Order: sequence, then structure tokens, then C-alpha cells
Amino acid sequence: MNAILANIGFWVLGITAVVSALFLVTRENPVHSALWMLLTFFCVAGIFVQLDAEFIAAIQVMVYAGAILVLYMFVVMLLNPKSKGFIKMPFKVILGGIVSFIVFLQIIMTLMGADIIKTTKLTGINDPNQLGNVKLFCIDLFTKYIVPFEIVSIMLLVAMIGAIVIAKKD
Amino acid sequence: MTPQAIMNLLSIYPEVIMTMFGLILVVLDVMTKNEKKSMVGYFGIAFLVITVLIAWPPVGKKFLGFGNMVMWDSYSFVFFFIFAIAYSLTTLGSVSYLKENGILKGEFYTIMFFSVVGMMFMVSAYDLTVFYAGMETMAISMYILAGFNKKCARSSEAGIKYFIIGAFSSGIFLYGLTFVYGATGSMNYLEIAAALKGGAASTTTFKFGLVLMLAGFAFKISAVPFHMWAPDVYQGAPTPSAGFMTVAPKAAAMGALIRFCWIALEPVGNMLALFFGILAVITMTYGNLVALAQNNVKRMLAYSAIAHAGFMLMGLVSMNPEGYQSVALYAIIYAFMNIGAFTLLGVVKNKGMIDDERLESFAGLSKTNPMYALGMLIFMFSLAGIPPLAGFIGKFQVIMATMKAELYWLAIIGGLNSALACYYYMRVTIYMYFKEPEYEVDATVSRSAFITSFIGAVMVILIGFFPTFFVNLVKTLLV
Amino acid sequence: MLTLAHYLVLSCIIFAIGMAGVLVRRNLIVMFMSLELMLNAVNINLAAFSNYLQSMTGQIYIVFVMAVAAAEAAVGLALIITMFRNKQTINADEINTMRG
Repeated sequence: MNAILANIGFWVLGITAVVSALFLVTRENPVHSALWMLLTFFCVAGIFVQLDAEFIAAIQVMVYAGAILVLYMFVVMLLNPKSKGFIKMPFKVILGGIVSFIVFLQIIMTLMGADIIKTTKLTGINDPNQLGNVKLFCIDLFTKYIVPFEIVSIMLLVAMIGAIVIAKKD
Repeated sequence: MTPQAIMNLLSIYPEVIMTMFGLILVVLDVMTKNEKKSMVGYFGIAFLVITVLIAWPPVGKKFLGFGNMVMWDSYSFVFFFIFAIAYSLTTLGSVSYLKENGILKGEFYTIMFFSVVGMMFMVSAYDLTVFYAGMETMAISMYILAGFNKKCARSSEAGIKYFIIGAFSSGIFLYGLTFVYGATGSMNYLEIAAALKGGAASTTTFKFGLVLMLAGFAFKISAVPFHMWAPDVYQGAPTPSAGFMTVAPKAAAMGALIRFCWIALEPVGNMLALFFGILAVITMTYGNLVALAQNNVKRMLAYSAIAHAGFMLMGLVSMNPEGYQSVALYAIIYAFMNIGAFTLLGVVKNKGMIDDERLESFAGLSKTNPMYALGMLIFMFSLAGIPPLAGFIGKFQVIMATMKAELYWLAIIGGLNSALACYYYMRVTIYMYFKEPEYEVDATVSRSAFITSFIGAVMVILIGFFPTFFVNLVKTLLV
Repeated sequence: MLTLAHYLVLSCIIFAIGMAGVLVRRNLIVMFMSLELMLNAVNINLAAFSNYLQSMTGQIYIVFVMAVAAAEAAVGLALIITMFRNKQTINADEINTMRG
């Protein structure tokens, strides 16, 4: 029963994510694109839940849907761009489309030929002491991966200073 | 303290000190008056000198801490030294340019300082997480520096182009990285190497991921065919940040790439040699050929930066200690000569209707401003690799390393390319010395820019005339 | 039954769509959104491999990728705003003053 539910969940979320991603790149109005992006982000969060990553799913909703998307909407509203900004040069479109299609085919072919694909179903993350996802996650993040965590804080500081100095009017 | 804790601290202390100094710089920036923001940059230089002295090269020692994640050894030190040179020279040379363009802000120096921290982490990384975090710190700083002149359309254009292509390439890099992670089961260089020895090297997943990862790397060092952002970005960015961008991030990417290839990909090293060889050949040939056709000196230097990246890749192909010693030496020499050239380029102001950096602006400069012309001559000759200047030593060492690895075809192509490169560097000197002035050009070198170019020129001549000392120095540091 | 392949193929499709968006679209804001799409595909991949390898490393990497995405969005949108102030456009075809 669980397996069937998981299957249904995967297909619904996956197909919605792909369709809304397609809509994202094809809408002319950036506001519509942003809303489709929101839907994609929610579906991806659902996929994370399926993959035993509940904490990541929560962060996905908070950071992407809550912060990044709002930032995008702000900029779209602020600039109110007049140019439609869709494809001007058909040559470029055809080239870009072909390139990405080739890359797509390449990836699919590689995946199909890969040995990793023949594995059986996913077993889930090992949690012998019943700590739960958040605890497991944080134990690793704040012991093993403390250095990159601190570097990311430097990076966020740089990005903050930079964004202010560039966008500020003076 | 347990020995483990001491080891952890030792493995990371230069970066920690740099971060603290960076935070002090942020505070200093707030405290200085608007017209004295160059003080922030000078303080940055002082801090770097202090850090270089504290982090004196630990010859022969290796401090590997935080669960095999960060490494501090003399290899990291040499690259840190290159970034310190790049930062100091750029800062000294930038003050007058920034003042004239009305963008003399403390943030310029703060961000550059933090980018040095990111690059240090990149080079000393023993784990892909550390590497990625460092790389993005560097990359984001570079986007900001490229778009720093916000009133100039070209500068923001350069920033946007750099941003889109940089983010695109790191997306590809990450996608490849996931497959490498999936195939080897770890992000740690040592564990990746162990997994590769254990048979993961032959899986399709790993090969596919590796190709994508290396493509992402190639974007960062502007190797052909992933170079298309480089000329526009270097041309549009403010001249001092362009000088910094051609030197430091490239050196950091090369340093990190060498470490990644030597530690993590050591079991598959022979597979990579051919890939890097072809990449190096295409990169330098293309960069040189297109540079021939340029009439804008800044753009010409941008294409020549691509060609120099190809030369550095050549040192990687040989896969022997001489190879990476020569890359480090090349990066040091390149820092001196290229930042010197960019500094001198930044002071030219054409009063006519054409761009400041057009070749015609340089016509007849030897008569109106002989010192300037002499400085430019030294840098151009050095970039062209004419003996006895430093550029020749760098190229010579790289080619020798290639010969030692018995890659004669590559050495021959490298030699031919450096001959090809002579032509377009010579054009600038010919314009300066043998043409009559066409436009009224102001090339007054301010004091700080003079100091930068003077240091650069002196170092170029010193390394050129006493190569054995410097070659041996790099050799003892990078055993 | 769900296997690793399901998730990898899903992320591959989203990655390709995002890549096509960056290459095809000329509206800078939509190009940035497509970049976010590519990073999301990477995140799915990481989560799937993390589950498959039964290690938390992949999940922790996702957090770093997200932090980078947020920082990049801030800087990139700031750059777009300056660009718009200078040229009154956010069309990628019109940012071509440098040729040669």
C-alpha cells in the first residue's frame, strides 16, 4: 500500500514539476514565469520528502519559495520591463534548443547505460538510533562540515555587501 | 588541547586570520572619510603582509585538519602569496583610476580581500564542499568587481555576462559533481581516490560526472571552447578589477585543479593528460590567433589572458612535479607583468573621440611620455616571452616540464604559439615608438600607479636576469 | 517500485529544461530563473544519491547549494537593476556593446 502511494506521489509531483518547469521557460510575462517557478519549487520539496530529506524540504520551501521568489517578484515589479524579451533571433533559438536537446539525450543515454541504474529500490537513510532527519543532519553539519559552513557565511557577507554597493543609488 | 585540535587549528589559521582582518576592513571602511577610502586598501595590504609573515611557508610539513578537509602546506602558501601579490599590486594601481571614475569605495577593497579568502580555501581544499564554498565566494566577489562601475553601461554589462556564464558553468560543474559523488560515495579527495582505486573509475557514472566537472573548471579558467565570456568581461570591467580577474581567479582555479587532479584523480591521471593537452593546444592557439586581430589593447590583453591560460594548462598536462612547479612560477610572473600592464593601461586617457584603450591612443607615446612607454615596453616584451625578461622564464619552465614528460608535440606547439604571440605585443610597442601621435593623449602616471608598475617592472627584470634563484625557491617550496 | 533511476531521470529532465531556458530565453530575469531550475535539478540529484548511498553528505551539500543560490540571486538581481538603470532594458540581445 505504501509503495503504491509513494509511486503515485512520485509521478504526480514529477510530472507537475516538469510541466511547470516547461511553462516557466516558455511564458512571456516574467510574473507568470515566477509563479510557475513557485509550483516547481513546491513539487521539488515534495520529492525531497520522498527521499528522506524532510529538513531540506522545509528549507526549500522557506528559502526558495519564501525568499528567492519574493526577491524575483520584487525586481520584476520594480523594473516593469517593457520588452517582451522572448526570442528575437530564430537561429539562436534553434541552436540553443538543439544543444540542450543533445545534452539531454546524452544524459539519458549515459544514465541508461550506467551501472548505477541497475540497482534495486532505494533503502533510505540509515538511522539506527531513531534520531530523526533534523538531528542526523545537524550532527553532520556542525561537526564534519563546520568549515564549509563557515565559508558559506563569509560568502553571504560578501554577497550582502556587494548587492548593497551595486544596487544603492548614490 | 588534544593534538587533533591543534592540527585542526594549524590547518586553517591563515584563513582565520585573513577573515578577521577582512572583518576589520569592513569596520575601517565605515570609519574612514569618503575621500580617504584608499586607506582601506592600504590597510588591506598591511594585513596581507602580516598574514604572509605569520603564515610563513611550512616547508615539508603538511597540516591536514577537520577530518581531512583543509590542508595547509607550502603549496597553499605559494598560491596565497600569488593572491597577496595580485591584491597588493591591484590596490596600489587602482586608487587613481577609481578616483577618476568616481567609484573609490572601501567596498572595492573589502570584497577583493574576501575573494582572497575564498581563493585560499579553494587551493587548500581537500574536500569538494570546501572547494565549492570557496569557489563561490571567489566567483560572487568577481561578479561584483566586474560590475562595480555602476554608472558605466559596459561595466554592468560585463558584470551580468560574467554572472550568467559563471552561474551556468557552476550549475554544470555541480551536476557533474553529483555523479562523481554518486559513483565514489564521497566528497573527500582522499576517499574519492580510494574509491577510484577500488574500481569506481571504470563506471560510466563517474566518467560522465568527471567530464561535466572538468567542463565547469574549464569555464573558470576561460579555456576554449568555454572562453566566450572572457574578452567581454575583461574589456567591460573597470581596468584594475580586470587586471585582478585575469590573474588571481585563474591562479586559484589552476591551483585547485592541480590539487584535485593530483590527489583525487591520481588513479585516473593518464586518462586526463590527453584531455588537458588538447584543451591547452586549442586554448592557446585560439587566444593568440584572435588577439592578432584586435585594435583595442584591453581586449587584446583579454585574448592574451586566454592564451596564457592555455600555457598554464600545458604545465598541468605533464603530470610531474616540474609541471606544477612551473605553473606556480608562471602564475607569479604573470601576476607581476599582467597587473603592471593593466595598471599602465588604466592611466591612458584619450582626449579625442575614440576609446581610451584603442591602439591609436598609444601612437607616439615614447616622445610625449618616455617613462610610460618604457614601462609598457617592458611588460609587453615580458608578456611576449622575449628573453631575458621574466615571461620567457615562465614559458621556458613550462615547456621544459612538457619535454620532461616526453610530450614533444605539445612543447613544439607551445613554442610556435609564443612566437605567434610576439606579433601582437610588438604592435603596441611599434605604435608607441615608431608612429606619430594622432590624438592628444594624457598618460600621466600617478604616484601609486607608478609604484605598482615600478614594482612590476623591477620584478619582471629581476626574475628575468636571476632565474635560477626564483626557480629554486619555487622548487624548494613545492617539493 | 521507485528506483534511483526515476529520480535521476526527473532531475535530468529539469536540468535540460533549465539549460534550454538559459540558452533560448533573452529576458535576463527569466534566464536567472532558469539557472535556479538547474540548481534545483542538482539538488534532486544530490538528495537521490544521498538516499542511495545512505549518507548525509549529499543533503548537507544541498544546503550549501541553496545558500549559494540565494547569494547569487541577490547579486544577480542587483546587477540587473544597475543594468536597467543604465540601458533601460533587460533583454540579453541588447547587451552587446562590446564586439571585436
